[in-house]
Amino acid sequence: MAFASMERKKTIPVSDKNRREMSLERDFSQPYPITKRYCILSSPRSGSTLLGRMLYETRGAGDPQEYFNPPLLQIERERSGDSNMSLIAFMKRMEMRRTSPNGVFGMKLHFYQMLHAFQASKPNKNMLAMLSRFNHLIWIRRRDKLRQAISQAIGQHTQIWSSEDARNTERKAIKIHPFACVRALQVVAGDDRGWEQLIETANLKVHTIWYEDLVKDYGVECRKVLKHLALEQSDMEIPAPPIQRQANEMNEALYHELKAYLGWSEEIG
Amino acid sequence: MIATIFAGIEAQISQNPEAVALLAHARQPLTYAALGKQIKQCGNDLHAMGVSAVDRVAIVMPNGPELASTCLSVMACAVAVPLNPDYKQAEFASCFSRFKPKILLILAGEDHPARIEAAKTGIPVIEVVTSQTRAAGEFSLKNDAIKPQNTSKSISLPNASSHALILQTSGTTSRPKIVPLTHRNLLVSANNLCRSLNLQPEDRVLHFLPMFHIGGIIDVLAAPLLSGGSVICASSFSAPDFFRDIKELKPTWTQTVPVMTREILQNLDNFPESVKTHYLRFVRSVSAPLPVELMTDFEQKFSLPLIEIFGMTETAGVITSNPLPPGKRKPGSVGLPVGMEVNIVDEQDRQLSHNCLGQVVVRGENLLQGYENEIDENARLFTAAGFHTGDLGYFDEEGYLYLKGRIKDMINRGGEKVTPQEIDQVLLSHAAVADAACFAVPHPSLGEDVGALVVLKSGEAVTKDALQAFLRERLAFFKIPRMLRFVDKIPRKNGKLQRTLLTEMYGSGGEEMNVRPAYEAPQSILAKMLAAMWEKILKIEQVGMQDDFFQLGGDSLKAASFINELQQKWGDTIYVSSLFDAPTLAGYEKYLRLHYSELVARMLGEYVAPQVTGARVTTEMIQRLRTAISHPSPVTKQVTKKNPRAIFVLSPPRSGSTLLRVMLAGHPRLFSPPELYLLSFNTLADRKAWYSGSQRFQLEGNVRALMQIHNQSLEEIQQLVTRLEDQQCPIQDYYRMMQEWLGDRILVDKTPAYAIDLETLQRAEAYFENPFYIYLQRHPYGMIRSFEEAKLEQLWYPRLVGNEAGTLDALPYSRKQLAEMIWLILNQNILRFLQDIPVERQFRVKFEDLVNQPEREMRMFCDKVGLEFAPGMLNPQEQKQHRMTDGIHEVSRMIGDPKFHQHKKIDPAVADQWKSSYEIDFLADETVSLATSLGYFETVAGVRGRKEIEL
Repeated sequence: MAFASMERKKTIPVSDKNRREMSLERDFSQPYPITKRYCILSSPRSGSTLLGRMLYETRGAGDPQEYFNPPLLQIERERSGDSNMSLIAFMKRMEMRRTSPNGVFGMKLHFYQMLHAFQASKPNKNMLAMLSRFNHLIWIRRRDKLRQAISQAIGQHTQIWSSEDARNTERKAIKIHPFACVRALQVVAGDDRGWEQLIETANLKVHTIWYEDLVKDYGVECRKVLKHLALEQSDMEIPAPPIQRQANEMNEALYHELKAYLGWSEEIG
Repeated sequence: MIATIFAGIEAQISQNPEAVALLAHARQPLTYAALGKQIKQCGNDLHAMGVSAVDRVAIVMPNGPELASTCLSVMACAVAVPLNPDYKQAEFASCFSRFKPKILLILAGEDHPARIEAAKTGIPVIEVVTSQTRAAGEFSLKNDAIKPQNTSKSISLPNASSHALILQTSGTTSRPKIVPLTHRNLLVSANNLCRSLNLQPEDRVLHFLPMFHIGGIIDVLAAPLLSGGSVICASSFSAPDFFRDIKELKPTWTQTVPVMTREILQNLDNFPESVKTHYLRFVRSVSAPLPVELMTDFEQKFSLPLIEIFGMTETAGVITSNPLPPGKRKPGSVGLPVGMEVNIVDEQDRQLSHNCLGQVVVRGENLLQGYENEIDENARLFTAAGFHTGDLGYFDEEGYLYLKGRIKDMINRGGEKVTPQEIDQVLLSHAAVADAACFAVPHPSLGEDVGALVVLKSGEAVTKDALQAFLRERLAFFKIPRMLRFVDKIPRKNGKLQRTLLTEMYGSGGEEMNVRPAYEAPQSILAKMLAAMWEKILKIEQVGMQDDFFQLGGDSLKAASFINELQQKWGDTIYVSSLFDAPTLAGYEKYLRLHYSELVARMLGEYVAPQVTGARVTTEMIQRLRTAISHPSPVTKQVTKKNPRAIFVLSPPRSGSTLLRVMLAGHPRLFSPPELYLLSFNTLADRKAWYSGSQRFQLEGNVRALMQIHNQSLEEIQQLVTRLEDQQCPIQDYYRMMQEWLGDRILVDKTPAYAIDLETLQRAEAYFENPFYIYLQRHPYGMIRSFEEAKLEQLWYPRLVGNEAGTLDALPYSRKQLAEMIWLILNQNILRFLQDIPVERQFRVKFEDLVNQPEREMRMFCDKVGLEFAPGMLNPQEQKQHRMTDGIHEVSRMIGDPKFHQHKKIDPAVADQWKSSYEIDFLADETVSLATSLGYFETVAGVRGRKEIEL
């Protein structure tokens, strides 16, 4: 695989969430030969964590984490003592640890993580080659980009990215300028647009799932994903949502504040 | 010494009594001897009626030879007051009451309002009896009103200082002023004209101008007769009669107004042979500005000079005139002074030098002594500087006068001064427009706005929108007529355009000004959001898709506020020019979707199509752009003395020149303002005209510089700049002024646009004493990436090709292609220019070195230029005001790098950003070759260390 080597010298900040994702407790009991790979194409705060956790909970869909996210590699480098571990070597390790007994390995991938891994500013043939190794591509996205941006802005401000974070319950009212949300919008919308354009340009076959639908009809949407992955069994129970929705009144207040800031009143739509 | 008009005619009678004086179609000609006899007879008759040399005789007759001889006869013995025969009775009442004529001469048998009014006010009416069977100009007086007096009483004849003629000005909003002219005034004027046109006894003028105007009495009647020539008197002007008369009566010259000239040309197809068979040696154009296109067309078709002049009733005619060949005629100019002293003065009556716009003042023996019964006006208009004509104008270096409209016609649009004549000229340059006139129309918030009447050529069709778009490409937004109405004919008073009259007729209704386009509700979220912002800024309700930001009362400050708000909210760089390029809501939505597609998609969560990678730049493409580049006008001013040394920063755009200039601004001996945009122009007025459209914000760098120099407010500086622009201040003089203001500080002019044209760069050498050049280089990929990010094609394509840029909807090059070609062409120009510059006056610096080793580079520069190094140069983000990195007001930005303020300090990483931006080498061979010669060897492939993998 033609990955560029990820920077090795920079100190990469690692969060508790990253550590949980890389926890040995999440590993499957032994390495299994891979029979099926899938990738969740995502953007920040698109609901990919919810989807990924659900898939993990089925115990038959690997553990789709953001393996291209530099902190995860950093954790593995620290743990192994191999400070020069390449991304390719890291991926091989994760495939061994996170392939479920039925031979399924999955991962999540934000668009900018892919660019970063390949040290590129836009998609190239090497990325397509990488993506072609996956048997299935699932594209999760969010219709309401403003709410997605607000969620991202709050996450950046609090560094609390999931309800699994112990600090989540302490989430206090915080002051975020709407412009920070506009900046976050650049990130989330840019990421989603990157996938959108690549999927169109390269004619990638993807199963699309919308965050709003996932939240509304969790069971139905999960089944659709499992069906797409050919993992659905008739008597299978869809695991309960493993994480809670973080958004609360503060998100709503910020949403209205942002819309007012943009001059996007309720009458406008 | 000839003292009166009649004395002058008598001199001709004595020389050649049988020469023809007056002619008319299908009439017997009248000899000088017969004319003399006629004048004497009329004089005797009037004397018998008790009319003396100081008495005023009103003359109300249709044009023709008899009116000519009547006027001449009356002037020989009394004071002639020719009046417009088309006046209504009330107008005659006013005239009679003001002029107080002793008698009224009127055509026999006419049941005319003048006769009725005269009867009403007790003015004796004497009939002028004419006959088609008599020679042209022969008449007799029929007196049933006055009892003949004893004629043995000696006749008191007029002398040089006697009034010969009373006319009135063409006042419209105010009452016309009475202009009494003496024989001396008339003779001097007529002689000036004879000299300027070299009139000879062989000359024959075709006269169809009304004789209640000075031109009809002096130019084409008295002057020709005083030179022994003949006058063909037409009853009125019509194109068929004109062609008939030039064929049958063979005039050698004539005098027209532009409307008539246009009419002649429009009828030429019916008389094609006339252009070959006429005897005309020139045609004189009076009364209104002569459009250059009209002049050129007429001269080409008739193969003769069309002589534009400037004259006034108050000067009894000619003030300036273009000379006859072999003298040089200058299109757009009214020529050289003819026997008068003509000056240009400012508001304090200070005389201005050439190319400086001000009021035209005149002195001379043909100038009236004062208006009648106008003490205050006389005191105001007649000063030590001369008579204030009320016309704006300037002289060029060769002494040719250019008029720029009437001071009172100036339109004040919310503080922006608009000369309507300028807009007329642009409208008239449109292929479909036959006639046009602009004028002030009242506006509720701006005070005044611009209105226009347009007459289309026969068979032509053009919409208001299309005409406005045409103007928008050529004029500043505030000059675009919001009210534009198509009419069959533009009302003129006696052939003369009177804009205040148009304001009265069309302005007060102003329905088009106040009636907005039918409301078309915004449908998309983007349009709704923009509409909401406009409503807030303009304090107006319900902005519709076809509403125009500026028509709704927007001005440049409000435009800047809107753009500022938009970019603050949306988090991207948006140029103010965008609103000027697309001022309607519908247009602006389209503009944003075209030029900011990703931004719009991001903000609204909309789909945006993948970008197609543009083709590589080809040699043909480079050549095409080079050819399309608009060059500056040739230098018009002879450089006599060079300015002190200045420093120029030469570079293509996005080469780090803003960083460099702000670093230089940290040196106490340097004054390094934002882009000045001076060197490419001859005068500040040229510069203003070039940047009149959406690019006018580029002029703010100079304003900011002056605010810093003088420590004055924006308003004060704007007034100063406007005055200098109005005065057509030459650029070199302006540089010198600025350098004098700066004292011992050295001016640094950093304007990347100079390198567009080699000739512009050469002006630096011509204007300054040993100027110093900093050549700032940057890797082409670095410059191109930065250009793409800043979406600079919006500013640079129009800057490169001028008016040819058209709308920015469909540029012939992609953003990336344009960036590369700009890098290439500008660097080539700079290198070619610097070839001839001694190395001790050059400092070359690479942007990559500047950001990596700023101190070393600045020390090297200081050494080279002979200054001590100043540590402040290394902290460009400090002292915002001192370094002029702020805008001219709180809602505007610095001219230059729009992302300058995103950096906290000099950031070396900026130089390498391109390395993670491109996947594939795309530069043309020519670009690679030049980059290599500059020491830029890095390629994308080299940096990436891999083969091409682009999708």
